[in-house]
Amino acid sequence: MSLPSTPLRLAAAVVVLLLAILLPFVVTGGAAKNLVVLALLFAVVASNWDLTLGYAGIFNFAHVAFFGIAGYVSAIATIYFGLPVWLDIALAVAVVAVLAGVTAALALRLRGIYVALVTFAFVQLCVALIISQKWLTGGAVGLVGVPDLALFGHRLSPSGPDYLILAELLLIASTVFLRFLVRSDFGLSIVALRDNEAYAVARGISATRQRVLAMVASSLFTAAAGAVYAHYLIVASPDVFSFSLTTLILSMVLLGGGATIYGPIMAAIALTVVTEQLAGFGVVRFMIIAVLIVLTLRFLPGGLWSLGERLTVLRRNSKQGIGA
Amino acid sequence: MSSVIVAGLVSGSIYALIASGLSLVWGALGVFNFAHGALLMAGAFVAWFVSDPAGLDLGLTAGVLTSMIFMIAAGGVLYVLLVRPWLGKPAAELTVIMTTVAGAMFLENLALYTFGARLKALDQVVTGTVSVAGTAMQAQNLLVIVLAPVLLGGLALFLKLSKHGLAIRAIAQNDEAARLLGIRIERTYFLTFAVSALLAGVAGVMIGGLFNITPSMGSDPLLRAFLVVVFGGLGSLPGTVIAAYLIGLIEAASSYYIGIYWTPVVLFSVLILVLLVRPNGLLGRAP
Amino acid sequence: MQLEVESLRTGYGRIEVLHGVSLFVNAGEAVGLFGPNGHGKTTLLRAISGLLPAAQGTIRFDGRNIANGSADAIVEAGIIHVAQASALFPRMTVFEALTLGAYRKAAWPHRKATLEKVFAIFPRLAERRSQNCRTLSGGERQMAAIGVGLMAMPRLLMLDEPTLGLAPKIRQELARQIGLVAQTGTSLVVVDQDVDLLLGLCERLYLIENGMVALEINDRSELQHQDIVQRYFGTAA
Ligand SMILES: Nc1ncnc2c1ncn2[C@@H]1O[C@H](COP(=O)(O)OP(=O)(O)O)[C@@H](O)[C@H]1O
Ligand SMILES: [Mg+2]
Repeated sequence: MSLPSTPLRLAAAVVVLLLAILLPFVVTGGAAKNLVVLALLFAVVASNWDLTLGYAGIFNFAHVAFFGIAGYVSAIATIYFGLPVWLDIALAVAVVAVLAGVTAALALRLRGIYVALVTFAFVQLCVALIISQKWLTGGAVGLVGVPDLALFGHRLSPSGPDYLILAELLLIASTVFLRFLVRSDFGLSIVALRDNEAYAVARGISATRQRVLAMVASSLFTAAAGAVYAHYLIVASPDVFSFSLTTLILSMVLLGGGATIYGPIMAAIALTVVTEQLAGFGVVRFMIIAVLIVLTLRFLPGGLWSLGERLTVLRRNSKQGIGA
Repeated sequence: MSSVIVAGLVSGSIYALIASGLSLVWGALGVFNFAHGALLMAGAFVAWFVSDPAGLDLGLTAGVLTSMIFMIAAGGVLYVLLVRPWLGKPAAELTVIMTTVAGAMFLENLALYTFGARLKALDQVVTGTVSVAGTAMQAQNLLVIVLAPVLLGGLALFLKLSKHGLAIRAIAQNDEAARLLGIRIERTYFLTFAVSALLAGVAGVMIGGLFNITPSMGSDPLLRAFLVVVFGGLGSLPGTVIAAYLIGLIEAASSYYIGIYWTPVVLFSVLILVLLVRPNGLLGRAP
Repeated sequence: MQLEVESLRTGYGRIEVLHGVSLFVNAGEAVGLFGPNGHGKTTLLRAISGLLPAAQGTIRFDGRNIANGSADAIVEAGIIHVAQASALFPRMTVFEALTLGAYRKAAWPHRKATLEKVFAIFPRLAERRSQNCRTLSGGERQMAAIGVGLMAMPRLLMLDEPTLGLAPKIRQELARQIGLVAQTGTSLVVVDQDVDLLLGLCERLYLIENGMVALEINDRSELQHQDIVQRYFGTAA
């Protein structure tokens, strides 16, 4: 993968940081702020999914369920057991990590498409359990009354910039974590397994262990985002397990470009905004998004991110005078 | 007890029709059609629109026939738009999951846009109740239970005896040897999708006559069909059909004896058990 | 001339394997191809049958250029290629595979009569008709592969190493059966490592070496087996 040169990357990082600092001051309107919070949280979910789907090539369709389950863990821990806030988020991350590990260990006995089918079925199991165990989960309505987060006695308020800043911090932390992972030996090993399993295994890489670890790693920030989401909305709702949310987040990964981390983040923000802009079109917007997905896969298989990469390469080549 | 068996056989029949189409496509092309449930839904809506007084009011026979013709075309179009461009490319398996997921999203929202969210029902092909071996059941249920095996038998005969049915199996087993016999791969893929869609359409009409027609009516049966193909082993038609009836019966029994909400738990536990012992499904082959 | 290949160049990706092959087959003739492994015999047959595009040169069948034609059009024209070590259709019965062999439009209406003829040449296939192809022995599978090819009523049948890896006894049986096929008037191209077998079956032989025709043998008496082996394989058999 060709990334921009170091000074360029530095400049990009500075710009992004500046934007991040400015964002809470610029976006103050209720609806717009809500949109940005959602976009940032979905960006966390999409980019973490990219770790398993894009880098490791695991057809894990339970990823968005990790997000949803974390919300329920948070809600149950705070509402029924009075666990202090923040601790419940840590608990949600821990529970989901274990769950991801177990799911991976079971599902990864299978190959390719079977993994997709079984993880899909797993999501259905979650939904059914949540809807049926009304006494614990609130059933189809969801579990309402998740307390607001608080810091040093200050309650994070949904009307102020607090959740926006929190979502930003979460996304930055998650992105640093993911970029570090994919460039580490671990990241190289899961890509090697994806591209040529027999060869990678012959080189001494343990296929199952690395894949299980990838699933667990991808679940950590996803779960944190899910817990924050529940705090933010004050409710853990079964809606997050719906096929349409999985489809939406999947489109973020794909439109952005798999195995890039940055691509899905960009696409998450773009898609959330576009979806909102198209809100006037009603259901037609989903038809438009569907067409966009197919067109992107057809004509830009590397996603939007690859477009940026191509431009950078072109420019660098022409600068060095080797552009034909 | 007997009502449990009836319910199990009805679901099993419908799952078998849906899953055998998925399995057929998987066997021949090595891709998985996530828009199969949306195709089923489209078939039901076409039948409803042509037959219902609120639509064209042409009667049920016309509705079902139009729907079947529509399904053949829809399967072909789906193949050309969402599958063919990616066949043979790297990561085709994953990409086609995505394109067909997008296709499903498109079709469901198109139905929502065109017909609205209000529940619709298809007239039943046969009405009233009948009694078989002392068990009273809706005539429509009996029709489903009888018709599905007939259709599946027809499918088996088509695949075993007809020129084009043999061709579908041939490309699934050895596509180079198939090409060397003059089999047109493209056309046969197209045909595979058409047959698969046709089966989905029949299932859609059956579901439409027993339950409601909604834009999302395909997703639950599709998810059950996922379980079925994992149980039965993708690409094995007998395995798929046996697994479909097993799952239908397990589901009916657990809904009746344990409770409807625990059914997914029961199904999933059985699934995990099967896969722990046989990672390629009950009757599946190692890839 | 029924088949005429002229200056054919082709290969895989950027690697050229055939560097200008020219040869011909007359109607009703049996022609043998031999030569060291990996020198392009299979590649030549794949180009003729449309599995591989021709980069340069022509392939004429009945005077019509079929180079770069689609595999199905070439089958319809009457050329059938029985692939090297074909697994056939593992989960189909011998009968089903044979039936499918008659997929070619010209052959489909006559499939029952053709099947009788195939069974007459390969009686073992009649015994094995309801057995899955996967369960056949090596020799039987080769017979089935040739039988499936014959079901298409080919005008030119190309066999790629039909005796590869078979025990001498079965090899002889198969050679005799291929001889029966030759007697039906079907033109034959046979690739084999066994030069004796080719000398017994074919009117003419081509030696394919380094992606080119290194030698054409028009008269069986012209060269004896030993000479060929010594000249081109460097060792005596
Ligand atoms: N699918 C392929 N891709 C790349 N190279 C190939 C392929 N098949 C054969 N080759 C190469 O082409 C050359 C000729 O092979 P082939 O025609 O099979 O030889 P023969 O049949 O004479 O033994 C060999 O060097 C072989 O490695
Ligand atoms: Mg060869």
